[in-house]
Amino acid sequence: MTALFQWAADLISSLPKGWVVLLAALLKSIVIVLFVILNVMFMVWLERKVSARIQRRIGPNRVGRFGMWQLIADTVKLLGKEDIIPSMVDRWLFVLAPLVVFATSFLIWVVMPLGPNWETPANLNVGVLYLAAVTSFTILGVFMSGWGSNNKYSVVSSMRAAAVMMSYEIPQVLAVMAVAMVAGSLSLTDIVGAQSKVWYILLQPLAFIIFFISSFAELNRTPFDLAEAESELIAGYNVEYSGLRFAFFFLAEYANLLAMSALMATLFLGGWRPLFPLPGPIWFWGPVWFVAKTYFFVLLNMWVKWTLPRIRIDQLMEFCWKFLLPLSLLNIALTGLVVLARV
Amino acid sequence: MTLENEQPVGTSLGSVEDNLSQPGPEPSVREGKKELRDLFADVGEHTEELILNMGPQHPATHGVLRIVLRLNGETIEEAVPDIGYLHRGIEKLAEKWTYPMVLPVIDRMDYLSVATNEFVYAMAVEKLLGVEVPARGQYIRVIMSELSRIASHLIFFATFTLDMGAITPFLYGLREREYIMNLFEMVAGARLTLSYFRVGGVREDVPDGFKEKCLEYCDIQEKMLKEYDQLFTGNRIAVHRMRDLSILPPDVGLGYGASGPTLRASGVAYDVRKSEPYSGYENFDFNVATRTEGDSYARYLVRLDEIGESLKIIRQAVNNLPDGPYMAKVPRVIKPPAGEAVVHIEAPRGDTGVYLVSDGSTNPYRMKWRAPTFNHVSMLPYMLKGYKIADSVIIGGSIDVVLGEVDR
Amino acid sequence: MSMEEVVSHAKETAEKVTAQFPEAEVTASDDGWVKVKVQAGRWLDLATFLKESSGFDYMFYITAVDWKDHFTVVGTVRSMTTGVWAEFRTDVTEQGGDHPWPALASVTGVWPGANWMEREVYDLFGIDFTGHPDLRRIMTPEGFVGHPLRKNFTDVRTDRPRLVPHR
Repeated sequence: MTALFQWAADLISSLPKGWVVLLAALLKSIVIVLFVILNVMFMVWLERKVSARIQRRIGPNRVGRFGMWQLIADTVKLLGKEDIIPSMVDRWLFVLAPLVVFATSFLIWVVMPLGPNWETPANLNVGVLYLAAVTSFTILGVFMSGWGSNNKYSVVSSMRAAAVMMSYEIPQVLAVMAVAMVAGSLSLTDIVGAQSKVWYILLQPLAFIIFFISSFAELNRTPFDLAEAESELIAGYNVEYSGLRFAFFFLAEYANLLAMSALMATLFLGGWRPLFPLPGPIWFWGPVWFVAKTYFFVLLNMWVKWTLPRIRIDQLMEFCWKFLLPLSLLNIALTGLVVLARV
Repeated sequence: MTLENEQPVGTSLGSVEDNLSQPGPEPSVREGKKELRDLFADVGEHTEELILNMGPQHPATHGVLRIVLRLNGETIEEAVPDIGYLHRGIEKLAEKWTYPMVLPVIDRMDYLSVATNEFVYAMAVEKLLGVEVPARGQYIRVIMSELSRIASHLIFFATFTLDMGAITPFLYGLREREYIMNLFEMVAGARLTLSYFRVGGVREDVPDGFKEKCLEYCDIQEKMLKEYDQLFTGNRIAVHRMRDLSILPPDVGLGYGASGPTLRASGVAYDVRKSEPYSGYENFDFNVATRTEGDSYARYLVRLDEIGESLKIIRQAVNNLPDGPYMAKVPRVIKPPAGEAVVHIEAPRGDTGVYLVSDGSTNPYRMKWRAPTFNHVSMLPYMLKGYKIADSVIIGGSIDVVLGEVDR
Repeated sequence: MSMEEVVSHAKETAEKVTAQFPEAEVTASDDGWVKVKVQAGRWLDLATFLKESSGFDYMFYITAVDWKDHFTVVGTVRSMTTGVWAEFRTDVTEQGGDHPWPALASVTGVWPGANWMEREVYDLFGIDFTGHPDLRRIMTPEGFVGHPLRKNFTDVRTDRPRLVPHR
C-alpha cells in the first residue's frame, strides 16, 4: 500500500507543474460533484420523510430500509421514460434550460470553504460577488425553460420567477454586504475565519433574517414558490418537461437548496467552526460541523415549506420593495456606523 | 331504439324522422348565436392581453370547470366560465326510468355529499305520493346528511388550502373524512355513492355499534377542528390571501341565487333547516353559522363553523334516535298522482332543490335539479373581475364547486 | 318568522299581484307559496313587479317543461324579507314565420341569476329568450344540434360510431 502511495507521489511529482494543478482541480471537482449529488439524493429522501411526518403519513417505506432507495427507483423510472420534446417548443432553449439550471447549481461550491485546511477549489477574494453572480444563473435557466416551452402557463411562471428572483436578489446581496463589511473581506474563507469568536448570526441578526427570507424566494420554495404554483400555474416553467429533463429540474431544486443552506451556515453560523470542541482532529470535525449546520437550515426550510400556504405575487413584491429592501439598507447603514466607530 | 310518446312538436322543427334523415339545419343558421370562441375573437389585436384557460384539465379547478380568463399581466380583465364537460343528462335519463331507479343516479350529482342528494329527491317523491316518513327514518336521514355535510366541508377545507399552496392541511382534512367514509360503509355498505335512502325512509336500519362509533367520531372531529385552526385559520399568509378577496354583497348574491355558506358569509342568515324545517330539524338545537364580511375568508370560516354545528346535530340525533320503523308503507310500484312538487333542502353547498313533475305514470315526467353551485359558478364573472390569476383558484374554491352538480 | 306570518304575507302578495295582473291566475297556498300564471307577453312585467314591488330577491330557478304541444316555463323566487315563495309560470308555443322557435322575454335584467338558467333552458329546450345578453349553449358542446330535454329529441350526431349495437 505504501509502495502504491509512493508510486503515485512519484508520478505526480514527475509531472509538469501545470498538470498537477489540473489534476488537483479535477479531483476537487469530482469530490464536490459527488458530495453535492449524494447530498441531493439524501435530501430528496429526507424531504419525503419529513413532509410525511408533518402530514401524519409514513412516507416511502417500500424500497429498501425506510424507503432509502426510493430515489434510485424514481430515477430509474424517470430515466426509462420517453423523452418528449413537444413539437412547438423552441428546441434549443428547451433542451438547454434544464442543463443550465442543473449545472449552475454546482457553481456556488467553487468558493465554499468546507473545512479548515480544505482549500476551496478557487479561493476567490471576491467570493461574495461571485456568489451574487452565480445564484442569478438559475433565473436564466428558468426563463429559458418558460419561454422555450411555448406554453402560456410557463411564460407567466417564468415572468414571475424572473420578477421575484431579481427583486429578492437585491436585499439578499445587501444582507451579504453587511456581513462582508463586518468581516472586512469578500472572501468566504476569510468570513469564516472572522467568525472564530462570535458567529455572525449574533452580530448581524437583521442581515440573517433578510437573507433567510430572501432565500425562500431565490429557491422558489413555499411560501414563495410562485413560479411553481401548482394550484394556478400547474407546475409553472417545467410543465412541459418529462423524464430525464424533469429530473434535472427536480435535482437542481435540491442542489440549490443545499447550496443556499450551506451559504447560510457559512455566512451566519461560522461555517465549519465547531459549536463545542470534540476530541479528534479539526480537519475531520470541521466538515462534519459544516454539514450539520447546513442540514439545520435544510430542515428549517422543509419545515416552513410544508407548513405555510403560498403568498400572492403582488404581496410578495410589495414585501420585498417596501419592507425588505429598506430594512437591508438600514442594516447596511447601521453596520457602516458601527464599523466606522470601531475603526 | 323505440321512441314511445314521440310526436312532432310543431311544424317548424320537423318530425323525428326528419331529424333522423337529415343532420338538421346548419347550427349557425338555426342558432344564429355566438359560441364561446366568438367572445374572444378580438384577441391578437391587443398584444398586451393574454387568454388563459383555467381548466378543464387543470389540477386546481375543482372537477372539470373551465374558466377562460382574459389577462392583462396577472390581472383578470374578464372571466367566462364554460361548463358542460360533465353533462351526463341525468334530468333526461330520469324521464326514462322509474322513480326508484333514479335514486342511485342522483348520487352522481353532488358526489361529495351524496346523502343530501338522495334526501331531497326522496322527499320530492314522498311529497308527490303523500307519504310520511316515520320518526326513526327521519332521524337516520338527518344523521346521514349531516355526516355528508361534514365530509363535504372537510373536502372543501382540504382542497381550499391546497389552492393556496398549503399541502399539509389537505391531508388533515382527508384523514378525518376517512372516519365518515367508514361510518357510511358501516351503514350503507358503500363509501361514496350510498344509495341508502328510499322513497319512504331508508333502506335498512343502522347497525349495532353505529351509535358509539358515531359519537367517537364526533369527539375526534371536535378535537381536530381546533387543530385546523392552529394549522391554517390563523396563519397570517392565509388570512392575507383570503381577506377582502372577492367580496359578495348580499343583494348581488341573492339576485344570482347564491345560497348556503356562500350567502351566509355575506350576512344573510338563510338556512332551509331553520327557515322551513324538514325531517325533524325543528327538534334540534343548532345555530346558523353566519358572517357579515362576505369575503373568501368569511366563506371559509362559515364552513368550518358549520362542521361544529353539524356535530351538535349529529350528537343530538344519535342520542335521541327514536325507536320504531325506519321505512313508511310505500306501494311496491311507485306511481304518484299527476302533479308537481318543489322540494328543497339545505345541502352543504346551499339550497338544493328538486322540481318534480308527474303525469301519473311510473316515470318522472320532468325532473329539474336546482343545483346551488350552478348559481355560484354563474357568479364567477362578477367575482373574478379585477383579481389576480392566483386569486382565481381561491375564489373558485371559496364557492366550493362540484361540477357533477353544476353540469348534472 | 312564523308560518302564519308567511302565509298572510303570501295572501297579501297574491292580492297585490291580482290587482296588477287581473288576467293572471293567482293562488296563495297555505304553505307560503304564491303561484301565478300569466300570458307569455306579461312575463317580464310580472317578474319586474315581483322583484320591485313585492321584494322577491332570491332567484331559485327558472326551468321549463315540455308538454308536447306547448312548453311551460316556470320560475321560482323567494322573498328574503317575508319568507314567501313565488312560482310564476307561462305557456309558450312554437311560432311560425321568421321566428319559428318559442320565445319569451328574458328576466336577466331583473335577477342576474336568471342568466344561466335561461341559457340552460335555451340549450335544453330551445326556447329563445329575447333580450338575453349572452344566449349561448351551456351544457351541450359547441355545434350541437337539437335540444335534448324536448320530448321529441333524437340524437342526430353521426360522427361517433356506436361501439355497442343499440337495441
